[in-house]
Amino acid sequence: MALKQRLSTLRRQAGAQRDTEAGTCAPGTQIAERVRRLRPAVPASAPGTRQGACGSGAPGDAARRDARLAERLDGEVLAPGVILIEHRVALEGRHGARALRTLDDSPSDLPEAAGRSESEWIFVDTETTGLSGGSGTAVFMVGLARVQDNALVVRQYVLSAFAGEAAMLAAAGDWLGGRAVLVSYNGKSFDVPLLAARCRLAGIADPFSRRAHLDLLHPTRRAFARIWDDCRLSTVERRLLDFRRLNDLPGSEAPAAWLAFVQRGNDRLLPEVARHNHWDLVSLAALLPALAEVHADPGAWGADVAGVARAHRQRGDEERARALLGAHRDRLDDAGLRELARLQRRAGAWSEACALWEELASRGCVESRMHLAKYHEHVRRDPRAALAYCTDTSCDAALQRRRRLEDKLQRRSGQRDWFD
Amino acid sequence: MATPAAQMPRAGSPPDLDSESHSDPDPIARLADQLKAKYRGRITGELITPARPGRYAPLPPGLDPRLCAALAARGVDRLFSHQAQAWEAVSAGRHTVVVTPTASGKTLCYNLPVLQAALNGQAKALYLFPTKALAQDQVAEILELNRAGELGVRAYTFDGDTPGDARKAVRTRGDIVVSNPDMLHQGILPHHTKWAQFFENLRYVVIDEMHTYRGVFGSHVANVLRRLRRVCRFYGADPVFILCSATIANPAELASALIGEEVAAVTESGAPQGAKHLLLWNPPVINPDLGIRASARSQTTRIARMSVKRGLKTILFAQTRLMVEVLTKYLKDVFDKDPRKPARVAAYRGGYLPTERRATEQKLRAGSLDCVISTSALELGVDIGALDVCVLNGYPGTIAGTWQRLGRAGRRQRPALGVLVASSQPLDQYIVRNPDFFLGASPEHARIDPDQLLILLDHVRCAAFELPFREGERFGGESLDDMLGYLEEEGVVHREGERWHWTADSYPANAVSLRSVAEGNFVVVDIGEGAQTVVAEVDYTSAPMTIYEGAIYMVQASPYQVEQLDWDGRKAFVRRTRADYYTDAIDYTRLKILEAFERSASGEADNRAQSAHGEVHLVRRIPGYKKIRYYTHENIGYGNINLPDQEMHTTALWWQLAPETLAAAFSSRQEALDGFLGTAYALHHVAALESMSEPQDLGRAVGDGDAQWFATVGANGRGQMRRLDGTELDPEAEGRFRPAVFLYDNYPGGVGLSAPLFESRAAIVRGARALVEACECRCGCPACVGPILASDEVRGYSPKAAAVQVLSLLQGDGA
Repeated sequence: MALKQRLSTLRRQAGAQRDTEAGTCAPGTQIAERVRRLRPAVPASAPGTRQGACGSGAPGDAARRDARLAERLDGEVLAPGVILIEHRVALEGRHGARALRTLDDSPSDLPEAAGRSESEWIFVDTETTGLSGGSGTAVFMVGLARVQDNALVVRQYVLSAFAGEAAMLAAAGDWLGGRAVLVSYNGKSFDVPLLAARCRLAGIADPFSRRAHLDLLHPTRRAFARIWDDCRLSTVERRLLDFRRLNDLPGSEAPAAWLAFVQRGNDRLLPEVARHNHWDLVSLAALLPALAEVHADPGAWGADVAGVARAHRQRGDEERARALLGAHRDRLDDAGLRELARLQRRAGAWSEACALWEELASRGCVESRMHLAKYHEHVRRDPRAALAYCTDTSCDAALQRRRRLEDKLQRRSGQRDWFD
Repeated sequence: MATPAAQMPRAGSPPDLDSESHSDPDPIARLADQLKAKYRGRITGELITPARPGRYAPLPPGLDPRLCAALAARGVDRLFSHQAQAWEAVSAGRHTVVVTPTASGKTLCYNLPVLQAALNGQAKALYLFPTKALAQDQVAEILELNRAGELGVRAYTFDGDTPGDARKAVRTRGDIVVSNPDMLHQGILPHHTKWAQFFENLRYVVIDEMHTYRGVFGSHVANVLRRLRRVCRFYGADPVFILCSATIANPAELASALIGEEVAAVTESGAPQGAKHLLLWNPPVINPDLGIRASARSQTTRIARMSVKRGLKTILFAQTRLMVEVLTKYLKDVFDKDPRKPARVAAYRGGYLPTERRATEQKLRAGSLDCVISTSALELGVDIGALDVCVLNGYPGTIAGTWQRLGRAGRRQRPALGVLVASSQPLDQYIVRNPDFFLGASPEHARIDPDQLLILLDHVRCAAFELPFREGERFGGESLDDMLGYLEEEGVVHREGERWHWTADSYPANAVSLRSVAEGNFVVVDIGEGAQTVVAEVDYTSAPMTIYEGAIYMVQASPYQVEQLDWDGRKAFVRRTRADYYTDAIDYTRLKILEAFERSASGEADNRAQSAHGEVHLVRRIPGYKKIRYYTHENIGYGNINLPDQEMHTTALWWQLAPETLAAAFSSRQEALDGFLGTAYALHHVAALESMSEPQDLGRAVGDGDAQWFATVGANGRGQMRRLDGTELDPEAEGRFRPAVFLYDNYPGGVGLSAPLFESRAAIVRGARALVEACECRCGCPACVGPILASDEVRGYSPKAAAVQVLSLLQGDGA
């Protein structure tokens, strides 16, 4: 109580002394004024216009709000605070240069997609209130898509109020079903952890985590990170799908668009957010087979052959990696050549391996010189030839090997002396 | 174990000394006697605490057998009484604070209940230490106990150094997570859903070194703990808090302010203690006119030399890394002349590699070093074994910190000698003349103000991000509705039904530093050597006083000069310099009393002194700065400063004297003015001690309290009356002359220092008077009333006497 008194006295004194707006008496103004006085360094922020138009009020208001938004988005009210938008995209149709029909083809050329069929894929992309993560970032739109009855069915679950969050998450989870494999773009580190956090906060089971998940950002990076300036989805669309969005609302503006609706009832930009999210999902569906093709023939797509080959090797397909690298030998940098040489050696193709090492050694590659030394010592059993590759004195391994080879030769010549 | 003397005969020492350290029952007492005999005049106080036997209690009956076995393996078969008391309180589910000296086994106070709970179920614990280094030590200690008993309890540190791929394991598998308040604030709470499992099972929160959470930092930490408890409630957990603190005057009060609940205090240590002998040492005055004393450094090296020569293991504490290096060099020149022999002297400080530090710790424990010179890095936690003598080069700033450092000598129940060597700083001088501070109850009150408006608002913001606020929820002492209303106007939260949701695309914790109040810290950028390196951060409030163009700014005791200040960009560009002077901003602070919350009993009517605390508005202008030569304090030049005026609403306490009283007590108003300025100087330092704050946390001012005039010390060392625009006024020509002396919280909105200072104003005035009266200078010096540039003759009176006069009049305020 003493605090209240102190507060009002202070305001009176400060008001008498300085030209602060003494008339305003909306809730929070006392605090606002006190904070403003304590913070002369920060320019006083203009008081926002509080509308309180949506969110508060009677249940009837909420229902009207939901209905209005559903109409605006061409969807239906699924539950209080949740709008569902559903679209069917014919597989015969094209997305940029690609037919979605290719989804039917087994994408087994993409190492992490091997063994899955198109009926299991669920494409997922969310729109959120922020990009910084943490428990204050909410998901206001969960976009899902899957192939059903010869079409790509796109479902978007949209929040019209925070109160609908649990229902939205549960409904989206229901549509996932049990066996689905998520396909996303950067979903492993962004969308799914965020959905998990929201489920936790809403107090419902989390249907998104602990599920097979193919994050297409990873194969995209491996194939193109060293070739393109960036691996954003819009870049991928342009360069792999030849798909260009017209009048797209940038994803970074989605948070403000939804917050404008929640805070001020302004739903003007939400249809554009939904369309942006829709395109993201269709692009994901088109990207999966496209990336499979990239991994089958990276050269044809201008991809990073070495990166793709490494992925095949890591999945246990060394033969494919070797064939890919061999076919694009002229496009490899030194690291790629070293990798090819390694695979040739493991396949027993010594002459190919040696040719590669010689080429690398001629450019000063010490590691390749060591490989050649080992080859000559152990395969050809010619320590003298091996010694010729151990002249690099800056390298400990070379020095050691040289010392050892010299000993070996010494012993041998000693033996020879003895027998001669 | 062989004594050091036997291991290493020394050429330099008298022949009888080696045998002495074998046979003499108490070489430490002999050193003390010798110091006293030889330097009687320098020793201002002596304190002997006799050895005290330990008080023990059996291991608690319910203790897990595995834990008993682990303790037995480490040689523990009973507890000290305070450990048993802590166990009892914690077992009863009470929040508990343990206040015990260094090396009294306080870690067992919290490790026992935590390990017991971890063994008996899923119970998890969160440990918070103020620094990362301490956290590492603590994990090592738990792991040792863990190994000894094969307990299988998993303890991990979680801080900025924890690699990304290890974080998940810490969150999901750690039984004990050791972190710090900043990490909790920015890394854990905003991501609490990832920690759900941990929070659901969180049984204990351990807060060690509690006394470091005071002032602004403590006020923030209290709010971080409010957020922690709020998140815990969300997961259905209500952990018990176990806090540990060095000795301060109000541990239970601080603990309870920090966690917002009643806290049981365990304050009697049952650990055995060797005899302790403390000498307070004041370097001799070498220039009585200016009050200049011999350097503390010269005294410290002298004492250390005597001590090491007698075969005593010696530790030196210095305030800065630079001083550590200087002392190390001097002592190495004496003891490590022969490079073929193993080093006897080593330095230990932050900035050395961890491996280097571990090696030094190892040598200390093994007894193979004779002398170590350290910063506060060794003050806390780190085990270095038994040492005999501890010399403090300068007062560490708090009595609690002094005891923590002195505790380094005499561990394991051996007798010990501590020597506190005062520098010429006023606080040092005050402390060293008051042995009572070390004898009686601690005078240091750690204060926090968790409801400081700006700090609270910052954390309401962070908390709203973490979980939606619900109608009727409480957070702090202000109206939460008003706070949330303010944040809604800002557009960062949105009310829907009974909940307030976070609706901004931002991560508020990243914008909140736990160590400042104002926003917009300045960074100090070193532009020497081509590159631009950030070397320090200065908070907004103190920027105008410290990093104006031309200022000498000290970083780790090395001087830098500010070449350019980008006010809007919040950057100061500096370059290393070798200047032999420091700079002192000329500070025109005009202060207006807005409201007195409380006044001393006596009124204006009887012409006695009046004191009060309340809210003030101050405007500060920094028109220029003085260049002052080190040691002599002579003024060697001026510079202009062109900065915007600073405004601040804050809390203050002040004293006033009636004009009639002043007229009767002083022959001139000028004399009274000088008396007030000297009084402000002395009060400021004594108050900083009482409130355990840094001198810069408090501000001081002399003026009319009505924004008409203020007083400063002019170039001639005399007080001047001025208006804010710089116009000098003639005191004698003014009408009513009623100066006031102010101490204020030097942060917008205050940090809760003034009100408690008002409560203890009698002690502060008494202390200030004692400080000035006991000073050995003739008419004032930097150690009592501030630098006095004009001599007595010029002035016609002594500013020191004037200050004593003012202080004696202030003592009559009826407090």
